[in-house]
Amino acid sequence: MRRLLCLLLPVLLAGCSLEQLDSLQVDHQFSDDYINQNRGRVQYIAPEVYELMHVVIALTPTGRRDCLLQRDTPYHRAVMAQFDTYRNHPLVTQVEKLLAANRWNYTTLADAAAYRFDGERIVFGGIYRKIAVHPEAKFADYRPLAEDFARVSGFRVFFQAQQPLYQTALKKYEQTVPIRAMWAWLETRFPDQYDSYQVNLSLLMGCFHFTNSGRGNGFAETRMFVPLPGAETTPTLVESLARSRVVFTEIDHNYVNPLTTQYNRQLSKAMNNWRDWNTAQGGYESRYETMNEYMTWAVFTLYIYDTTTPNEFAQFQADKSEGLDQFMPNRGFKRFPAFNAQLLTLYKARKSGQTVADLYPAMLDWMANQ
Amino acid sequence: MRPLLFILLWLWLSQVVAQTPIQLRVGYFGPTITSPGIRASADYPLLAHNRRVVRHEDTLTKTHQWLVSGSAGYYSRGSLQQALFVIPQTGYQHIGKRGFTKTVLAGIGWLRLTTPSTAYTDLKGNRLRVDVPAESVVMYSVETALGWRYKPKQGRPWGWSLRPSAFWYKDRAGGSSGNLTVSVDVHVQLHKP
Repeated sequence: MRRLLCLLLPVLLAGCSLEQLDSLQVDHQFSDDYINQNRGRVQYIAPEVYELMHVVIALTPTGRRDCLLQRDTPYHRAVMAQFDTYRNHPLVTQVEKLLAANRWNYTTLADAAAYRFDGERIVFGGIYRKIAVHPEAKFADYRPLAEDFARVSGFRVFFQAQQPLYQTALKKYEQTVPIRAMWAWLETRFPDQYDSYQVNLSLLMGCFHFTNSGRGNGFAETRMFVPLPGAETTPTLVESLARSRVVFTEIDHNYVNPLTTQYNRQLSKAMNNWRDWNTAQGGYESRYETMNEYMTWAVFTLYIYDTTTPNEFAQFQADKSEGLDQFMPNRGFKRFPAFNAQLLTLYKARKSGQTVADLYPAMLDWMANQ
Repeated sequence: MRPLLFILLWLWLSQVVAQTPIQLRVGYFGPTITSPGIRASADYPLLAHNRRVVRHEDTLTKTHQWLVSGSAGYYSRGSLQQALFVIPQTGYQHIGKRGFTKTVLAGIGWLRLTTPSTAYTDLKGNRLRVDVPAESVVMYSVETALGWRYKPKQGRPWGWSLRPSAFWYKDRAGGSSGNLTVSVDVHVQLHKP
């Protein structure tokens, strides 16, 4: 009996604790209220703590030279005029350390978007816990310094004063970037379905965009983290499609990535060496990540093929700075023009009822022969 | 009166410690390689079952034991965070006949997080100081250990262990945080068998 007790007790204790540990891995907790408020909705939001972290990044040496931030804008100038004096704050030093260690630590911002201000304090918003990649990049650990920075620099007053600018830009974004149409288009062409889209926007965000998704309590939501263009000018057709491309190629990761996972075995044969396809300039250093980048961008071609006139489609494709066949090889995805053309050919020739997901095996066969 | 009580208590504890197989451990404890820390622990086998095995004229012992353990430690993440903790744990330990040890521990304890009061100068020349209140939180921990225990013919048993563990907590803001850690401990048993 004593021996049995000795053996069982630690197992039981460890079991309880591991269950709690497992619950930590779930990065979201959708309440019934949250589900009722957001089912079927696209939320366009500029979270305050998320913006605070963007301001802090603007003060770092990395933020001053890297394309992580949009710098040549009136808003960036206003930010620097107000906050540059606090560039020696320890939070700025800590965030610079994070970014210098790994550029993907920029995703720490997504953790910040899960928090909100309560007076001078920053409190957890209750839904999302963590998406940051690096274990040292948890916003929770930076929160006390962030509270101090916000207090000493007058961030909340500044953010309030910028609200008219933000509201105008958010409204214009909603009008000019047809996310609801993208949602409808994607869900008739891929098997995955989502109940809600959350678009996190910042007037400071630059070239590094990301996404994730969460499922639970019978509810699925995707979150996109993309830049908010200023509302000063009306975009041209190409600029407007480029804005759509920025968010679309994040949204469709939530549809494409699960398919790539499903076809992982076939992919290892089709893409024997990912370096033949990708020079790894942006850190997509695996077969899986390379395939997802090729596919998400090529699917955008299919989307604009379906939703623009032939003239508009041709104009965008031919554009020297925004056309995907120019843009993607510049990012290191050197076989993209051929890949893009092949997917479009298969899409045009698809049988009735065939979805983009159904074209995956044919694309993998084509890749294996390259 | 009070000093006398402390002396008596100390003498009594010393006697208890000298007669019971308490093992003291000390070692490196860091949530990451760049966050150095230290931890001191004491393990006490609440229940132990020994099985003797005779091999080539040697008598070897396999031990299963239910441990209770108490640890106190500190780690630093530079100007970002410093932490002090005290945590009681309990769990199972197996000591093989050649001294190879396997341990699983779980516990709930107290963690005090502080942000160092760093001074800096803004570009207007003002000297400012970061002033953030410390937070005390409840920490949960699960720890495993693999190691070796040496039993010299004379003297105290001693050994070392490599101890991967996870701890987590809910902070003042209501957010969850936690860390995976690896610690390396050396231990010595106070009582000579």
